[in-house]
Amino acid sequence: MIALLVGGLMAALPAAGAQAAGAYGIAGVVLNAASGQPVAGARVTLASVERRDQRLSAVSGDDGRFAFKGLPQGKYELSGQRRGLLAGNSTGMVVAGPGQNTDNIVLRLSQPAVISGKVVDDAGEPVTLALVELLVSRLIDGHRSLIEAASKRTDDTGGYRFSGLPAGSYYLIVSGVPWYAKFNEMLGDSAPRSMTHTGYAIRYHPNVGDPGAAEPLILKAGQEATANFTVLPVPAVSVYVHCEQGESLTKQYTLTTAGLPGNPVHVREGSETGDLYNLWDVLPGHYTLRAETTDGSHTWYGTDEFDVAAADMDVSVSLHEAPSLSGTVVLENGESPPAQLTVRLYGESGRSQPLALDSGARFSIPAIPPGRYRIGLSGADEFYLRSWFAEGGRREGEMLDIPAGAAVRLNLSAAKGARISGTVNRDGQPLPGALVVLTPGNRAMPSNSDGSYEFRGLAPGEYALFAVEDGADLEYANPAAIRPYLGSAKKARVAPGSSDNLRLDVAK
Amino acid sequence: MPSHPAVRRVWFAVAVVMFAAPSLADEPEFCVAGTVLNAVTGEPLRRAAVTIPQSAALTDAAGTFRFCQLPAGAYYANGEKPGFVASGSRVVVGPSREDLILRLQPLSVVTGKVVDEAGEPVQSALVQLLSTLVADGRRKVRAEFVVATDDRGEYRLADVTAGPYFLRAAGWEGAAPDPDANEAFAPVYYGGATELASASPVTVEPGRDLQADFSVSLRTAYRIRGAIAGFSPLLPTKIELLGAGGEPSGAPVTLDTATGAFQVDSVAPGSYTLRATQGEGRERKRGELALPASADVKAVVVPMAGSVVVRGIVRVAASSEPASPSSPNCAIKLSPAEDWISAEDPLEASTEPSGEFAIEDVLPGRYRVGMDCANGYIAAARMGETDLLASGELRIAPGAAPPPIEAMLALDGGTVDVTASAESDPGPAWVVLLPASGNELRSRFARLSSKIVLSGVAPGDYQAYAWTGAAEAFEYANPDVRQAWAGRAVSVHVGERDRQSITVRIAAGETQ
Repeated sequence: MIALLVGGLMAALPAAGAQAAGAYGIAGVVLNAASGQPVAGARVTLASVERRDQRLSAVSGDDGRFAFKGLPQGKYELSGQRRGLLAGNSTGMVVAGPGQNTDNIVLRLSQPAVISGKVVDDAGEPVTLALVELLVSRLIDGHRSLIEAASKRTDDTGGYRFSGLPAGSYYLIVSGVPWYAKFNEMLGDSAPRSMTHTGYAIRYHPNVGDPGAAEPLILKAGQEATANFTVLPVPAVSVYVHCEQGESLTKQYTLTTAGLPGNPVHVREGSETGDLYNLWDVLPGHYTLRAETTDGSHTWYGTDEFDVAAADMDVSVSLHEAPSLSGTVVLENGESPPAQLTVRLYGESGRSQPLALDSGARFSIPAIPPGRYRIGLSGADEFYLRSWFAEGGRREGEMLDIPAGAAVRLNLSAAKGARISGTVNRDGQPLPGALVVLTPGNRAMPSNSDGSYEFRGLAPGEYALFAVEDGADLEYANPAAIRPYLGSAKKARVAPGSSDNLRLDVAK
Repeated sequence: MPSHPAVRRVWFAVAVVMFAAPSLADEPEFCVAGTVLNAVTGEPLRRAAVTIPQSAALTDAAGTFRFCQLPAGAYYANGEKPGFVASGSRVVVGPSREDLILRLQPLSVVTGKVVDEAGEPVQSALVQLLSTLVADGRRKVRAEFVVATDDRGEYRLADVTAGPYFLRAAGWEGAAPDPDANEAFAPVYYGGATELASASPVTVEPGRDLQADFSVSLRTAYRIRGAIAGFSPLLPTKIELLGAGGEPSGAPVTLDTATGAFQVDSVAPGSYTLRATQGEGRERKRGELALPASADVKAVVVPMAGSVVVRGIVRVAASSEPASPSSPNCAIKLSPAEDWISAEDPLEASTEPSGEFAIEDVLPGRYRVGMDCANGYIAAARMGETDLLASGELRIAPGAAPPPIEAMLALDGGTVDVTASAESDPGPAWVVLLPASGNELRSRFARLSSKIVLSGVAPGDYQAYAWTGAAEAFEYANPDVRQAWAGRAVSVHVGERDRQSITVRIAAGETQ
């Protein structure tokens, strides 16, 4: 059955060049990823990669089939959604054009999974308004890292429910304050401390207090998993933070504790003017306190680490003026860089700070936390960072160390990079959806519907490339994870501005 | 803890002051002990918090608590626990009290499921719990709680106070679960009614779970796009898509606060009023557009108009006795005509000695008029072409100064002595005289003691109703409710300047 074409949108998709719209088609089937059964009534959206605002929509028929006709030559992204199933995308792009077989594209939609549970206290009473945070392990730029997926407050039964989850590896963190601790507002210190100065110690799945003992909850598609928690009230103390500088300025304080690897738990945020800040009701543990303040033209940062035990305590934070950073980007060929080119500073946490270019190809940031940064470019993928030179900071290999109080001047040279493209094959046939990895540089992309791939903006040098058929979970930025594939990888040496074609066979 | 240090310091200061008072040495000390119970089941409540001035404790597994070292005196002991109404008791110690019982009324839970015609769960649908009140004999409703269904189509409303409610499913949380799919369902009340007038209320009992399921019909929805004329990006702006009774459609609205362009998604087929309000206080502007949604609306512009002053005059009819006061003394009230309580309060004004009045800050829209005059009745009232006596309702059109309200006050009305008959002390009681002509401007409502005098009653036939309990208990402007109460009505005919006596039987208030 041919699916319905949405006519109004169709008109918005113009002809490519002089060619009339209408030469090519994309058709396929929507399948349930688990059962392989066709999915009827799914809405399939086709978006032009070259012109993102141009979208077409169709609904799959009873046999799960959909079809788009009258398309100009080009690359498209295909996505599908159906009530009760998770939205899904085609792996890689669909390439429509002369000689392309785009009649049997398969779009798989998965069953959503659920994590639910109850939070009770030491007496077995439901804990209302406990904060349940859900983290998911994801591959980001080839590294496995934990990111926040969702958070919920428990209801009157202590229950929580996260629905619509894709299969994956999840972590849960539960924190909260007993409802009766609110009486400290009314009663001050006249009520028993055990009742008013208390908090629930943080719990991790599987209902443990030690983040080192936390385990992932491995969720399969369509699974309904349960994770219950028992939270225990522990006595809390006050931490008096002394910060003698900038007395008239308002300081922002952030208190974190270790939590899961790479994911410190945010315990408290607050601001206070003056030299004393009371972090009340802090539970025993090891903490990092960050302070930040600004007078409008300068920014200061401070940090302190301390252990909290059973007694009120004093800590002090000293502030240091934030370093500033400015610089320029020049192109090797003397042309001015494209406006969308962005300089990126990657901090040790892996998070990056984007710095946009002004019309004179200059960038600047008045305050940046001191630390070690890796420098990169983004926004224009045909360019690569050829060299860089810093005044006021220390270069350590590929890293730039920016000390407190420095005014760093950074000169970057960028150049148009080389290109490697080709196709991925299996048994002599082009293979769509395979993961193509290029190293060094930790770059990867899925092959398109015709098996094609392309890397641009490559620095001159020697590269290894390989393709993996089911590579969605390959941690390709981890040298250990890709080592097994390097023996059969293809080598390519690229010259400045060169363009190479490389046929890859999928790794066995 | 979300509290601010400054707030905490204030509390410390208060605590210090309170401590200073009771610290006299060698005074005998006493204890207060007792149990916290579930008022409905009688079961003891563990982990309830009990507070007395300057101290607090949690009950143990048997629901008991104990405070000691208290100087003799009167204390207020308050018990509370999530899911219960906090409640307390005054207790005098000296000697000790060991048997204090604090009964906490449990709050209730309303749960249910929203499914489509195929029985499939509907996610992200909004369910409203509506409470009602009666003002000027008219029932008005207000959303007390709004909650969205989860992936199973289920919703849960906790901590609901016992009482009568309406339940309604309408619209989507945030945006529709899939805005491009653009499906919507027509709002529906629990029980299947599509309008408030035909909906049945549910009664939430203390501590009882109530289950209320909905079946909705998903239909292709429409999208309304438009802009606000003369939009000012700095002013607070509200855009609502309302049904015929002023009820919110629940369709998600997005507003570009820079340009005033807006979009309403997932609009179920139907007739709506799009209402935009901008600004605060006297500077408010409002625009309303009637929009039948039977196709996408691409580019409506909502014309905006500021508030106006509704002026008027009440003249004393020439036929009145010369001895009577020549200055009318009237209160004039404009109330939004919709069944749904809006943010707008009724607007009120009083007559000057000249009889003139001016009601300020009236936004365009439909209003009901109330006129209550001492010693007289409204013989005629017009606003331009509108006979207010006949309809009781007026429309303030946008953009122009409205014509003045011109009313005639007649002082030749009769007097009705109302005597209440009750077997025992009924507590607060109320009486309303409803004219057989249906002229609401001539109805009379009063608090009833054993005997009251209603003077300046317009000549004509009336039905008198009396009741006890809440003044709001009798929805007398609703003909169906009047019909149901007909058995307790007392008829009276009032002539010019005559005096009638009636005896009304006081009936307990009913909500239906």
